[in-house]
Amino acid sequence: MSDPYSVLGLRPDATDEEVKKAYKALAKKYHPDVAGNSPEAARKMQEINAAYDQIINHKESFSTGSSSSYGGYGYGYGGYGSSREEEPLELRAAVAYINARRYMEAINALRSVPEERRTGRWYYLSAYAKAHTGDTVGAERDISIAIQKEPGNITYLSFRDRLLGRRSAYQDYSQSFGGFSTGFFPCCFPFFPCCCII
Amino acid sequence: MFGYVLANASSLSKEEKETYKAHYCGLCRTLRERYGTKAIMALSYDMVFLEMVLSDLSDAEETKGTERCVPHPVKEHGFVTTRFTSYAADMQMLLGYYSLLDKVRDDGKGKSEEKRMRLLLPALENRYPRVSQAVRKGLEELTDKEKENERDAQLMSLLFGRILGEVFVFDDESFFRDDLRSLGCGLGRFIYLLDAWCDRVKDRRSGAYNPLPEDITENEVKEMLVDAAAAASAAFERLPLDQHVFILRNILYSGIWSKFKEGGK
Repeated sequence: MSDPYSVLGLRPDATDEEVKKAYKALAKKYHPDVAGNSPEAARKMQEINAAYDQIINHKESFSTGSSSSYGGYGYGYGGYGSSREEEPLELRAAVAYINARRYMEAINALRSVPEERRTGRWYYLSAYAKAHTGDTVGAERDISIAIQKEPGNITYLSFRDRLLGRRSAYQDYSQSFGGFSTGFFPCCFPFFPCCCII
Repeated sequence: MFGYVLANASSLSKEEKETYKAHYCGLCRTLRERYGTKAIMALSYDMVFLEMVLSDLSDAEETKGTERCVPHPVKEHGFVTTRFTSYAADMQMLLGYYSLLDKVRDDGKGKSEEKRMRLLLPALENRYPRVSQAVRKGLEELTDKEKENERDAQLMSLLFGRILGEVFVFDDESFFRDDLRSLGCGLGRFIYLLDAWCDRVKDRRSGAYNPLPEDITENEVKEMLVDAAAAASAAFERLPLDQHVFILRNILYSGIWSKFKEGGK
């Protein structure tokens, strides 16, 4: 795949805000309502989506177990590559679901593996899928087990760091709004006409 | 529903307040148009947030106007609606019905209301099969677990989070459905835990179910809430939003905490 920034018509030093604006403009241009149902527009749309995903989500990209932890994410692009043969059979469905961003299905597929056969890799996949459905508590539990089973695994360790890092990032950013405790109106907003009535 | 997902007005600019208010009034107006004046009883800020996220995400066309309404007949005020306002209104009624049903079951109040609102269900279920099924089944599961006196507050909040996650997915084919689902799930977890925290004294007194341990401290609850809010925000930041992003961030990073401080007392 070509450079994701050039797909969006941007320079590589573009900010996330610029990426988002460029994505929206292009997505509108190639939307089926505008461009019709042409295969060309659909292909272009896929490219734009993949580029957006690569830029915005790259920090969280899914490690497929091959040597590279980057770029193994491109659903629809066969981005999964060489590690496919290495993946245990019973985990392949889950990995396919994750690559297709169908995380709930991935969780269900993983559940079918009996407990005694759940490896570090299983717990990592489970943590990854759970984190992407908003279940960060379950994700944290699972990644800890994965690390227990394979203490030196860099992928697992960095995944846990990212997971925990979200909380401090959230708290830091909250500070810029004056923290959690200041400036609230006690019951309702004086300028809101409606909220006292309901 | 719960009304926890609201802005911290003190750090919004005048224009942002106007915009936020106009979306609120747009939802109110749509509820009245679709379901009658009484429906504004169900109105909450949570669905204003959803409407603004979905509208921003799709750059939805806005219909603007001014009105004098039943609650505020004197002062004319502006409103904004988009194609997602009616979705938010419908979701408000769907969730509102079940929260009313809960009230009827708990303390026997509102039986005739419940009967009247029940008539709306078939149309909503028809129109939103995926979402309405997730809401119904999810809430049934929560009720069952309540009866079993489930003590795992995180598990309970996740069940509620999954419900709100589905509500946030307007279109299950959308490229951003997973981020929307995570955003809704994180917020749902947050709402559930905060609601349990705010109600804990009342629940203890009346003997009603409350998932939080009796001796839980404010810091422990806060940690759980931060985790839920962080999960929601991480998903939020992945969405290509650019129109209402300051208002929405104000809500996510600040406004949603307003009742935590009150509830702590």
